[in-house]
Amino acid sequence: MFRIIAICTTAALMGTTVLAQEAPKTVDQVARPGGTLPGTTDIALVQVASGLLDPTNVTNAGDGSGRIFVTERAGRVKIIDKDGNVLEEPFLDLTAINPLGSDVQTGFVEQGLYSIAFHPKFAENGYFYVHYASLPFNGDGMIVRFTVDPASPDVVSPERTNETAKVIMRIEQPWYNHNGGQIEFGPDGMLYIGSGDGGWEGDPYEAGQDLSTPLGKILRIDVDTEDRPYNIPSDNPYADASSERLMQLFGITEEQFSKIKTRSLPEIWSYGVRNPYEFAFDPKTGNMFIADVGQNHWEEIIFEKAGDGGHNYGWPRMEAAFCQPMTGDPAESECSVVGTLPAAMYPHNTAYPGAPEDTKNAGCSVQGFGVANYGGMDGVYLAGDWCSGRVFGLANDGQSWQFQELIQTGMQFTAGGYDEDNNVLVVNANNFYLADQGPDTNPPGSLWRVMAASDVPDGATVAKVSK
Amino acid sequence: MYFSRYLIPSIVAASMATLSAGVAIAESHTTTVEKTGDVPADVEFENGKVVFRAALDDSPLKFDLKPDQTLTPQVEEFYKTGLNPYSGDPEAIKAGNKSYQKLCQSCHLKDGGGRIGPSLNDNKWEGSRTHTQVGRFEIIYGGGAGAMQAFGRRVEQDEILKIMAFIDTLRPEK
Repeated sequence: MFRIIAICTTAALMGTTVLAQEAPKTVDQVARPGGTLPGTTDIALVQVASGLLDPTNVTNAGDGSGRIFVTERAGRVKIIDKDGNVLEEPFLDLTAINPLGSDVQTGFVEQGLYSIAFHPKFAENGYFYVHYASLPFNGDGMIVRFTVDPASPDVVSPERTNETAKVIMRIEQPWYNHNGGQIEFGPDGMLYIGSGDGGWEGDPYEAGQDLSTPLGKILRIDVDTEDRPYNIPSDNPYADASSERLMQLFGITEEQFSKIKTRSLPEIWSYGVRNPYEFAFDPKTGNMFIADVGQNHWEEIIFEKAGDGGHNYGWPRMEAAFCQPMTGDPAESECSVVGTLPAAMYPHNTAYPGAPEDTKNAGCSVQGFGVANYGGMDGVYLAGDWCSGRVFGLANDGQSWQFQELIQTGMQFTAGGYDEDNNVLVVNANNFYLADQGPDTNPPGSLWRVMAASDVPDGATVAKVSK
Repeated sequence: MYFSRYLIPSIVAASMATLSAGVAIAESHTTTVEKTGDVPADVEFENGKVVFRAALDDSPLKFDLKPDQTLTPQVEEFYKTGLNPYSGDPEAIKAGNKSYQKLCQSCHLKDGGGRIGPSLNDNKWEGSRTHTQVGRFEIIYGGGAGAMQAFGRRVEQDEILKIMAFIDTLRPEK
């Protein structure tokens, strides 16, 4: 009898654990602001460096140098050394490699240099990758590999940049917004690419649900090849779905039929995202969090278990956990969920058309940071909002997803990343959504480190927060 | 000194008398104030000048942005009274409109209806002090939360007063 109870209890616990590690199955399981995170929730942003022009992203090289690399929207990469000094000469300057002018399109605030990723073996091969809006290619997203000269580890000269350029991918961009941006190597060594739906509003291309376009997707490629731009990882969900074959009508199951996608792109890892400007891997578990910028009413954060590709995250059928287009209060309309639900969501000032304006817990654009496993935090995904300056935490307490506002700041967050010790870093800019006056003319932004408030050293500059 | 900290100049006291008695002073930044006033009851004066506070955390507002600018007589008067000398001035409103189009309308829209930023064309105000001219100056100069950045870094204080004079014209009535 005791044995049966023990088995049942173990099974129940396992069931709970398995459920807790997964994306929500129902709309009411999607976490909203007001939850309670396990562990430390008293955090502070401690300034690491300032004077950065429209910083868009941040990462480290993983080479033991302690350097932090910040991308500036105009097309430069700045190094912050281990002592917090911003090196004057850029590590990379894409405004200086083309004799006709900058190689980077920055005409709209969502355009520019988006991100930089260092090869897992960067210390040996010197390879790093950038994603930027190309001026010569009318804003198309260019993903290019360059190689550092070992004799000049802090500066890749314009000549060296041109000599070593290897174009990995060009993503055509029909409109100037929703370009995605983040590129990052996963724990599996593959390069993941956040690709937006191409822009305008409402996804006019239906790109999110269209497997024949790289737009509206998370892409995954294997860059460890010299004789071609990249290889397709054999375990990508559509790696072979479009390969040519003889037509077979009988002796094949419906499930087998369903895997034939003659127009699908093999680079696709997951689909149905709107603008995954930022995503991050949990350094401890390899799980992935995608900050998918929403349209007019809800922002969402997607949880994806490590290595679990092939999901449809719903856009443009869904905006967060609600049907899109939203025509009124979603509580009063019937809606069938399409695809996998996000782990968390938060509203804009108006949560649906005609809703009363309510700024509590609200924002307008989710900017992902990273997963904190220190300072009393265990697997807490941190994200900020561009409009409201709020910082939210998302974690699973073993039973359900919890989403909590931690602080509200005076900053426009753009993105985050990690230092070599996996501390979460954050950058903020001071630009305009429309009528921006140029990436080099805006008041400079800063680089911050997320810390438990109790760990902030004396004398540190800490971001001001709302009382 | 203690007494002078709360000494309200006579001109302000006179204008306060014109306010209706029910001006609500919100305690929380998330509370909406549904009334537009001039000088809030809790604005402090010290040595005959308004004590300005940061919109985000109510800490003393530091006037360290664009430090080499010229403070016009209108700015000096605003420091003393908490009332915008440019209110209702057609030339100032015209100049303020031009600046508003360049700096403000991308978030608050041309008519002040609001989208990324809150609406400005009604008498509902986010924040505890923005229903007053002092509060609006504080949030424009020193910034609020998130995308409401510190415009004191981009324009001089005199121009902020002109923008405020224009914003006043967006509301149907005070």
